[in-house]
Amino acid sequence: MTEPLLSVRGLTVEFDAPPGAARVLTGVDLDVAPAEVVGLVGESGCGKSVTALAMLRLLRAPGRITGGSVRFQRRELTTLSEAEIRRVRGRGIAMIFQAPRESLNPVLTIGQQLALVLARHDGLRGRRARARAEELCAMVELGDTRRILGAYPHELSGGMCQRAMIALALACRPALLVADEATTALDVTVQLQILLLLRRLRDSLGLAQLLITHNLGVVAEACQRVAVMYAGEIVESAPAEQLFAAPWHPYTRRLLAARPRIGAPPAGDAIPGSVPDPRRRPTGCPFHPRCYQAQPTCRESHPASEELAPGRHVRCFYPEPAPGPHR
Amino acid sequence: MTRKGDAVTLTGLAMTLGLVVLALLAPWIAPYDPYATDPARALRPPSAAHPFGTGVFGEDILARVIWGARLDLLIAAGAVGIALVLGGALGAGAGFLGGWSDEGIMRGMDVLQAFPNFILALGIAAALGPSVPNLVLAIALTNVPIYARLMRSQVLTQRTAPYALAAVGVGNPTARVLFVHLLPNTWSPILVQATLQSGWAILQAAGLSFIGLGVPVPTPEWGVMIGMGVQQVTAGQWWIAFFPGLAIMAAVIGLNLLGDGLQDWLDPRRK
Repeated sequence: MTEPLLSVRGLTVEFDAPPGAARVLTGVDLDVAPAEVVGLVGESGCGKSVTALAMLRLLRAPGRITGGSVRFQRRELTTLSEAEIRRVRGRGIAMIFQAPRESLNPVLTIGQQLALVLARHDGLRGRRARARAEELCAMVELGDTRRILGAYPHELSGGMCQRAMIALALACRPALLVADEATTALDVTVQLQILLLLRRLRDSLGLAQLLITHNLGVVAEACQRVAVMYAGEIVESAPAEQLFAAPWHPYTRRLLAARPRIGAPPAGDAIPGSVPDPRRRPTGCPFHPRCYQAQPTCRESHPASEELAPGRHVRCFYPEPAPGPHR
Repeated sequence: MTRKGDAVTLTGLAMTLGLVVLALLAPWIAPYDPYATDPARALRPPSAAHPFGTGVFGEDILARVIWGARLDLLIAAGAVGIALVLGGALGAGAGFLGGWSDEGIMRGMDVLQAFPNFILALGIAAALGPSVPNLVLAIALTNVPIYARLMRSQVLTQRTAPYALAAVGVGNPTARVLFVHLLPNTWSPILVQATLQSGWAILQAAGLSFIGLGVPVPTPEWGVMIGMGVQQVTAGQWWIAFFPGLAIMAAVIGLNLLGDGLQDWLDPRRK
């Protein structure tokens, strides 16, 4: 396997919540190879966004990283100085968010916002900046370039705003694009367009991507590898096809079963209960209170993540289908 | 906003611009020297030669009202400008830094606001002595808390907006996020407030001058002029105090109408 572009190991994040601290991420491991698209999925509140924010050191107090490492292009991000991490943001790793319109500055036109980024990152001004801005608009398939560059965010549709956000992100030529629920607020046809755009960017620019989503359809459509998160830890990671064909962790299985499907009765009770409060994490495996096959062991000890097949990690004492004898 | 609202705003704009033009062109359009006295023509009622009449020393009221526009608008602009810069900087700092700096700055503002506005200006003006720069300073200081509060609330709401996080996320340093992204989003309510406040500043300047704590007699300033004419009103010579009063009213109404409408005009969503 090629050396990963991004390698997160044992990332732990705590939020100060007097009298103690709430552990929101527990030893998260995550790899993204160059030009690879990885999906990070899980229910709301399981730590997907916190993982992305922590990677870029964008966590605000009371949240803080208390352990683990984040290596990106052979540099350790958790110990970089503030000035150095600023150079990684945007240039190395760019991030786009769920609310595309609110993520753009409301009083500047798209052209002005692109101009700010181009002037700062590439020192481009005037005609050359204009040419590069038009090139970026073409790259993200924003049709009428002249109109778009002169438009304020409120004059554009949600899909166009997200394309503009992607153009802004691409302006810094990042190696990795982190998309935090970037298609969630868009309607399905626009969602698909954005996903197709992201795929084309991967193919043409070799842009690696980390797609954070709770939409398994998005993952199936766009990702080569998937990491499933639950209660602040990665419970299963696998190549997308294998994960969808044969999920091993009970949580993944339930998550897949919970997808609405035409013709099937709604699976309302697919996963009983909800994600645990980080201040009151269950003992042992954090999923055991909601797991249909929990054993006494699950209550008592915490399973480690194990590679049971090449590229397939699972954190469960009783993964299914059981690949031979297992402790 | 409706067409009627636009008409009202345009009226305010026309009144304000009219006064500004008068102020700028005062040396050329004023029919007499505002300081020229002529005992032979004292206390004349309005006539063709003196449309606003003449004062106790035979000075031309129209000329003095026109020159007064220059001085009063200048005082208002200076006072509001200083208050805006000082208050804006303090408020932005308080909102952005938070914590103890926020507490310190805003409690200081509370102290300033605890005094009735006019009384505070009166105290400052009295302590500094009557002159134009001191008058500007006195009015500016009483208005600082207004801008500090407004700016702080703006920065507090804008700094947590998604676009602010996005700006940090692409590698902008803190100061750049504040100046390039946050401040332009705070301008419109501040500008509206400044316009409205200019009207009040004129009123305050005239008020202080009227009671002798602002600009010294016989400067052509509206408040001073009312002060000089007030004893004559009972004797029937109403025009000496009336026309400068009218000018103050026009300035305050014009700036208020303009300020009310400006909010809508400044919103990029309305273009």
